[in-house]
Amino acid sequence: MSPSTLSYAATAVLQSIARGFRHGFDVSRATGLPSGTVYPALRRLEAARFVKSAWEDHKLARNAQRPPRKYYEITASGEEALAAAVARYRLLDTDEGRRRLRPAKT
Amino acid sequence: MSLQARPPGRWYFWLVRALSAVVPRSIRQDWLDEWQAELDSRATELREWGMVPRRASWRVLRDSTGAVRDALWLQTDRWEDEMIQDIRFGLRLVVRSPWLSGTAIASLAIGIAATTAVFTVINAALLKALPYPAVDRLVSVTRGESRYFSLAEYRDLEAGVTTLQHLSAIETRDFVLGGDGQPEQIRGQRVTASFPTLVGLDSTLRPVVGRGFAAPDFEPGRPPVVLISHGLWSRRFGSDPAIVGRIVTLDASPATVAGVLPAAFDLFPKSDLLEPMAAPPGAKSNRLYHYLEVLGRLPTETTTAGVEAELTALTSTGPDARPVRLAFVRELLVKNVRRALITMWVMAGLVLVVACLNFANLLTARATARQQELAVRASLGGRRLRLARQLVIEALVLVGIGGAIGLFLAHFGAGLLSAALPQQFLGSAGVTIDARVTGFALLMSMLSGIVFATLPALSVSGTAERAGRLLSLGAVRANPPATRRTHTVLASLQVALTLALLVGAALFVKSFWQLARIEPGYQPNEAVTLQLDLPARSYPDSPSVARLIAGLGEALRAVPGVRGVGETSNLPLGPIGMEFRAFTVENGPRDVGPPEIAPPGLPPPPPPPLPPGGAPVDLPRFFQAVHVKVGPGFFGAMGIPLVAGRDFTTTDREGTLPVTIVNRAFAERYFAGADPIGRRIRMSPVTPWMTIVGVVGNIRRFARDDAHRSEFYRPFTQAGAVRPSDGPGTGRAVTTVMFVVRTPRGPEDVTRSVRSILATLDPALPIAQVGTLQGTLDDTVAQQRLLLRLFVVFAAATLLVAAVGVYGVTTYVVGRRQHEMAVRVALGARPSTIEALVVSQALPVIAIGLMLGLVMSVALSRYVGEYLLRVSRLDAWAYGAVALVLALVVAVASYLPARRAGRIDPLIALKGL
Repeated sequence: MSPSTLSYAATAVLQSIARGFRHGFDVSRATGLPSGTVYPALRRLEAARFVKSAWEDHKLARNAQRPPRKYYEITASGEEALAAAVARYRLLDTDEGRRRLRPAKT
Repeated sequence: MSLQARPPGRWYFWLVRALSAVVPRSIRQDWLDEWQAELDSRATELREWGMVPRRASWRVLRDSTGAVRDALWLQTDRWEDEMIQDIRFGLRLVVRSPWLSGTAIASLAIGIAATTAVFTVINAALLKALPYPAVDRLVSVTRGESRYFSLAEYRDLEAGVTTLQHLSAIETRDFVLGGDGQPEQIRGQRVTASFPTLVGLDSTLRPVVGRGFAAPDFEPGRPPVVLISHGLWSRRFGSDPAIVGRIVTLDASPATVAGVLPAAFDLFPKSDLLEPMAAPPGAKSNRLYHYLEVLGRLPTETTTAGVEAELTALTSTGPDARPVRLAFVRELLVKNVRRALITMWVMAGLVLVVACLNFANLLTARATARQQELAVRASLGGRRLRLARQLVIEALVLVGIGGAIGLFLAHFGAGLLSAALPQQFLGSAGVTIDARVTGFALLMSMLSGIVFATLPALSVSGTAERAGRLLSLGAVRANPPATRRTHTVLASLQVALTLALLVGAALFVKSFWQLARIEPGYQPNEAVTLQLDLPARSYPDSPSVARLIAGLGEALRAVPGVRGVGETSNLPLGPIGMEFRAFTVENGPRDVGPPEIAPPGLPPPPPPPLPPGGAPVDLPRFFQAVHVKVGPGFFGAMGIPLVAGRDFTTTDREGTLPVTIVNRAFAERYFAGADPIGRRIRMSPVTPWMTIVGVVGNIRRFARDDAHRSEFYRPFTQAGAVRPSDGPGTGRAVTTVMFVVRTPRGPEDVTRSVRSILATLDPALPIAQVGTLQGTLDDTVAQQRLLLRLFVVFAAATLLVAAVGVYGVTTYVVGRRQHEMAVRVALGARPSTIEALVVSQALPVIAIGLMLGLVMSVALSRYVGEYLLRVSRLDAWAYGAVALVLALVVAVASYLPARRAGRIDPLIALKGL
């Protein structure tokens, strides 16, 4: 996947990861995109090496009484692709876009 | 990845678990964990927001549908990947076994090219949209065999009809177009006032320049206006828009061009002119003169039966009181071509089916040969569906290549077909490969590919799976009985269908051969014919006609290379000037058996005129025969032998003894072998007796395979005055004279000579219908020749496909059995034994195929029966010869690989394993 083929949805997902949303559910909530769009987009981004993923520590999950989460992180090439895509999709970089993509206070 | 921390028993976890079954195994666990985390987060969040658990569950359920999309996305991703692999593998197989793949591709390409080419023509001829408004309700009024009515009858119809809309009469005739340039004879129609609305000249088919007809144009006494065809406009007037308002001359009287018809107006083939019919009321009340076609529009919700009853009642007062029928114009326009095209399509379809059988047979052979590979894959965990899918995709690779080549070939095939077809098959539209044709080719390819590739794939993948379970890899039989049975069935079907096509071809060959052997009764070679239409305005009586004939004939005879010149009112096999006339024989027989009937298309002869005094006429003594007017030298120029008596001479003219010459059939029928010379006949009780001075040979006048008919000939000079009131139209009657010029020179050459002679005799006279006797003769068998060619081409293609198929499969199977053959040879089998073994496997194919094929041929021959002349559709000669040829071809196709098998070197073959 080259930056020019990044879809609007994939760009939004990539940008939310860049802003610190780390797993699928958070990304879905931040972008407002349904999970059926977010997860395939994540798989595509990962296949293109724009993001990399890691499982959270199991002990942590066990202590929190929930299944372990898969955390995503943007890569260097992902940053580049994001910059190129955002330049194309100007709308994402407006104040409105920024406000909606503010990290949650956790 | 351990999942001990998972909260127990959430039902939506089970949902994603079930869904994970379709996710590729390598990432399944990961996928499941991630989705469980996702759904858990969602549920937790909803709980925190204070939703009641049940409603929360529903929300989570709805959100979990995202998992379905995610799973499917991964699934299609995998399919695409594997499909590309399969396609690549299929292409590699094509390269690896080029002979087998080439055969399969070639046979499919031939089959698809044939069906697509024919479909292209059908698309142009049958499916094209006709531009006339409400064309499906446009009807032609007919009566018996005829489509023609008299003016008086038309007036009755017009006055009384309530059921048909826009009833119109159409008179088709030839005009001499003059003005500037060479006078030219063109065909045109005179139409009544409702015609423009009927065919949409005032709506969908407005003139491209100028105006259409208006109501005043149809009033008697108005200055004449005409509409000219798009073709004439571009041909003669160079598409000059200033044509509107120009004055041209038609039969020497002026007419104004009102406008140009659109190119799409092709209701009358080869016509170039429309003129308003403004006949004064009461003109030509002759009810016997049938020359008007009647068209109308059937109102919606009206049945043809009601209209037919009304029209029958309206015309039943006339002398020709047969029931009136309606014929749909759309049907009439395609009637002649539809059956021929459908016959062609059936033939092409048979070629395709044979090609597909071939394809299936070759694929089965290849799949059987790959059983070992498939068995290994099955035993290593390849699922049956997966293997079958791969086989189908490999087949579709072949189909794709074959279909593409076929579409490419169809492009040329359609061009050839449309060049071979008569022009009226296609109209002005022409043939093009459009989206519909491409779609058709794609559909045919896909259907044939899927049907004929899936079946062998499924059966073979099943056996492969079983073989895989047994894991007896080395022991997979090269040629299991089930596959052999498949080969036999497929090959037999191929042979049967090929036989059916070959029988069709053989029947046409024989029919054509029989037809070509019929003696026409004259010498057709080296004879140029041309037609002159002498307008009654300049040639009102027989002396004036005779003067021109004599002058032109004399000058032509003086031209170097001309050996003879003859004139006649009707040339054999030509429709113009044909007539049946009544006559009576002096002291002749009262009864000569059933009367000779005019061939279809020719009006019955008018009854002889009654004597003025009203004396009773002995009607049974009047017979009818073909009546032809000729000039002196006609029989010599035609090469018709004079059997007895003398030819006409220049001394037979008006005022001398009325004479006639009869043909052999006439003499035999009415004089029963007695010498007719000196006997007398006459055409009505009021016309003079004519003395028979000669007897000539019979000719085929109406059709190549028509019976010999009684004919009597009279000299032009004694044929009576030309009566313009006889002819259609007002003052535009013509006397048509055909010239036969016996010379080795070509038609153009002769036309030039005639034109230079006419320049001194009558410069305004155009030459029409230049041709040759041989050409006319050839035209009569044009349809037979066309069908013959098509059948031979299709049959040859099928024979080729079938032979190549049998050869290919046998070669392949023999190749697979090399080991077995080598063992046999090593154990002392002689080459002839091996050959016999291989060839004997073709015997059931030949036997079953021929038997099935003969049954099929008899059934299918019904569809070609009507095109066959002088040969039965069940002709034993054709069936026998074809069966023999086909059996030989199949035997040879399986003997060639057999011979190679017989020469196998056991050492090489055994070492190779």
